[in-house]
Amino acid sequence: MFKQTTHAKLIVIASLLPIASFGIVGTISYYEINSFLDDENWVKHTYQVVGQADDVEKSILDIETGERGYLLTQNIAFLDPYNSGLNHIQAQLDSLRTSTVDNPVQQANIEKLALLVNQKIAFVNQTQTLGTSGNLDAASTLVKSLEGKKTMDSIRQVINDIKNEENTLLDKRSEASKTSSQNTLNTIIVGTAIAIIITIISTIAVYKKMKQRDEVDKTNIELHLETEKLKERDNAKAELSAMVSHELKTPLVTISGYAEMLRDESVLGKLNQEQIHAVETISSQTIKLERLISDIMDAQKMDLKKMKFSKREFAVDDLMDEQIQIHSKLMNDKNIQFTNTTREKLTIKSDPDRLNQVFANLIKNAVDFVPDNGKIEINAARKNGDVVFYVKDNGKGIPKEKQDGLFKKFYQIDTSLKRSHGGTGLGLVICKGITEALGGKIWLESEVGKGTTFYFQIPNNETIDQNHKEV
Amino acid sequence: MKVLLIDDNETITEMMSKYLTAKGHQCSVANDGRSGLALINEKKFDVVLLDLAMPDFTGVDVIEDLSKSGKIKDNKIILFTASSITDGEIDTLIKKGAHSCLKKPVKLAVLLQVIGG
Repeated sequence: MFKQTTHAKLIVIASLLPIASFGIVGTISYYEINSFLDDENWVKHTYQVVGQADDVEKSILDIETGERGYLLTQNIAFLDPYNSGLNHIQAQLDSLRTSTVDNPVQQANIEKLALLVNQKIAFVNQTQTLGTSGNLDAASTLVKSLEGKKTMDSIRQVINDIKNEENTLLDKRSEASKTSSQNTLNTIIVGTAIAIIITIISTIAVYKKMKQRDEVDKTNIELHLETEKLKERDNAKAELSAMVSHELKTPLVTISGYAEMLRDESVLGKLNQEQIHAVETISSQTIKLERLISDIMDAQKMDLKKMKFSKREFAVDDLMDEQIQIHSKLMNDKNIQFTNTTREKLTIKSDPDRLNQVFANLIKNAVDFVPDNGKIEINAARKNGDVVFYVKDNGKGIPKEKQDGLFKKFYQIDTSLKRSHGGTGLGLVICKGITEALGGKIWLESEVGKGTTFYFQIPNNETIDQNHKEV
Repeated sequence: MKVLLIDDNETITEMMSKYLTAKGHQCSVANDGRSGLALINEKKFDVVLLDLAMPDFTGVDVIEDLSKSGKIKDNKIILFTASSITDGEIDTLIKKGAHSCLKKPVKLAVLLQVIGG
């Protein structure tokens, strides 16, 4: 599930990234182009202002030229440009004013210009009035006074200032416009390139992930097949084990049967003491061999997790009393003081047959290790809803360094003890397997020279390890 | 007691019949499931010791057949097995009419006790 989410996420991100990067490139380009167009408009505007300034200059020249022509010729036709100039000049000044409303320098220039223009017009009108009234000499003197020329020079100067100002601005604006167009170009090229790279990376990432997923799918299928094979092999192993166990036990039936018959004088006659000893040895060794086969089978089942369990509610004190009954003969034979010190009345839901098996193994071990006139104590007590059992002996104890290996297969504390104790080396492995399969645990406390206590804690009503089948 | 021993292992049937005869029982022997079933259908036995794991016609097949024919109630059939048969499987056979089950190897004294007399 987790993997699928990651894949879906990756694909969404991989598709959205290129779209997003193209979107960003588009947006930036849009603003760049707008700003470029804006700069272009400003360039146009500059030319417009320069043109307007030229118009003003032309009108003032028309006024002056018309007036001079009339004064020289007295021909009224020369007054046409004069009148036309007068008619247009105020409107032209207004246009200029409006165009440069955002530029205080130009506004000041224009105010200066307007003043000079009015001055010039007043001067021209004065000359004109003198001329019209026939006072040509006075008019001529006025013109010669150079006052008009001075004003005209000032007008030209101011107009030049206006144009220069605009030209300076034009340079700036052209530069900005150029930068703007370069930026736009750069943004589009670089942005598009980045977006293409992102798209390629996304595509590669998705492709790789898809390929990886294909591989994971493939591996999963292979693993599944492998698991099936292993399961088959386990089943074959279990079947083989069952068969081997059957085949090993069958001859034991005859061996132990005949050994028993030999000891029974009513069947095959009386034996002498040595013969009896031989037959008894055969019997006891046969029992050990049978126990070994059963233990190997149990350990094998534990390995293959085929051991079967059946849980039921039962009284723990019955289980404890049973231990005393089952083992009392052995304890009497060996002169061992065997006691059950359980005080609580307990019930538990677990598998009593398997717990019997654990007790049997632990008690047999204890019997093997206690000295003559030894003591073995069994107990059960409630602990946090679980039941803790123990088997305590006053044997020679187990040194710390040997304790770890105890629950390993075919481990025996001392190889020299093998013959005298005759354990299979599987008892504790089976005890551990059973307690763990029942959801519990097993451990020991031991002190050399004082004795050993094996504890096993079994939970109540605990679901059995799922790997183990419940019957 | 009339005892029928059904087991494909001849050394086992030989040993057991010797023992049981020495203990005063009358023993018949069959070394495969089919001849055992034939003997049960032919004669009346007090006790039948039936091995489960036999080739071709198993002890389970014998029980099935006797259960179908209804003759299972006329015989005290004791299952006798070394195979790792589960308690559940034994319960099924006992429900079908088998008397009890002994696991191999068994002490002859215990066998004698179960057969009774």
